[in-house]
Amino acid sequence: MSETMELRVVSEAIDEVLDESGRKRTCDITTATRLRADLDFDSLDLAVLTVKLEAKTGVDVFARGIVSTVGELMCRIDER
Amino acid sequence: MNDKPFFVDRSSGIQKTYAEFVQDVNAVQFVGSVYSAEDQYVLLTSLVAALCCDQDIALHQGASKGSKNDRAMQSLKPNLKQSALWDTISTSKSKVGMSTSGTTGRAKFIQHRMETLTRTIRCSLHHQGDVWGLTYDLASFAGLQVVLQALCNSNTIVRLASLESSAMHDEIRTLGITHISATPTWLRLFCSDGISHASVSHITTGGEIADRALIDQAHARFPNATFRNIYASTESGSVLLSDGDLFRVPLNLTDKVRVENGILAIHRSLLAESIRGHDASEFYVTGDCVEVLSKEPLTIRFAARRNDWINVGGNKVNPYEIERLLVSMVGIADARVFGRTNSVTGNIVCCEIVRSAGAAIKHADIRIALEKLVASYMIPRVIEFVDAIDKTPTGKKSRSE
Repeated sequence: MSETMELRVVSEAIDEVLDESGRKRTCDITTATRLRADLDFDSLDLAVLTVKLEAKTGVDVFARGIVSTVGELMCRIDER
Repeated sequence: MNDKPFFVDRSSGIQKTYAEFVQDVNAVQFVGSVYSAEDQYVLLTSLVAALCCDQDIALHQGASKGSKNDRAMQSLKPNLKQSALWDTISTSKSKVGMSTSGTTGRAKFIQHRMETLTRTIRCSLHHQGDVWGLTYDLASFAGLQVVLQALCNSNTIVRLASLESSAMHDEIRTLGITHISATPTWLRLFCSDGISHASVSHITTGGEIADRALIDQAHARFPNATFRNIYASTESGSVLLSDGDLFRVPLNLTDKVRVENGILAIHRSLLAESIRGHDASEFYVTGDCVEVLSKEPLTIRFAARRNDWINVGGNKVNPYEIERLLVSMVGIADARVFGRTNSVTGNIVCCEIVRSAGAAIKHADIRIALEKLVASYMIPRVIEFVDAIDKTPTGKKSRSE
């Protein structure tokens, strides 16, 4: 998967998590975006995010511990 | 000890010394039901005031819904002496009530005597310098354990629960927190910040299974800490301690803890008072599946908590209760609620929905309806719309994926 593709997949999953909990994204998503500090994700949001990303990429991104940025998430998808 | 901070909660700007705390306790005039969403410090002063006067008290997580079940307020006149603080608390005849999942009308309410609440509290000179980080709600069994352990040794309690991540790291560093009690889910999130703390010497986890991988990660963040896992249920309070994922039953409990058909059973004498009376049998079957690794001394490992219940980050969700709420909604003909393992919260609540003929109910409709009725961790996060729900040959809905 190219980096642009990965970023799109991660962004889509993030938007789905926000949408399903009745929220709107307030910032652009880049590799530096922090899941907790910038997107205000709590543990349940992260739990849903990993379910969505696993469905899209086959990778449980937090299986080896939780990461904090979108870029680190993309690395986890790369490492599969 | 007069100037020693007792309770620090930066999120609400509270910092109280032991002397101020005793004054605030003595100013409490009424107690009854206390809700943790209002103010954790008020909850603490009300609790200790009630204990001082041997008055029963009910602690609830979340906010008051103004329900009819709220008990009437009792007036009291506490006369607490700072020098007798722990003696007064530990010998109190009060019953302390707590609800298991206090957001729905059918929460289970359990009353504890001080004897159960202080069973694993350790008082000693070694603990004098401890500084506790509080990650739990004070109206929970685990939160109360932290408070009692700290009170017993005149320690400082620093509330970490409602702080943002950077403020939390600041508090741990500047106040030199030595002890943290938390759920594995809390610890997982904490580790993701990538910040290490050398001051922390003890980490206690409970509520969920802490796996080896998490303990390894946590070791990197807390290089000087020892880890222990605690087995406690609302019914029994704290019973067992482990170093990693193995629990060795201590000698003084060998005749009070046993395994029946792979399920942990606990002697009645260890149970909270309010359920002791309901159960005529000698042993209370906890419903927790365990694997026996050695018989003498009895050493066990937990396989899963209560099969049907879903443990979301240490909070137990009853799938039947959520199902009942779902099928009572307009547009839903049938529902199946089940847990799915998750690398962040241990488990996550999932459901399958069969729409009523012609209904177009959507994910958002379900969330909005449930938000008014239950806590956020109870709401199914993964929702699938299906034509029919599979049943087992005996007509039951499956509780696995």
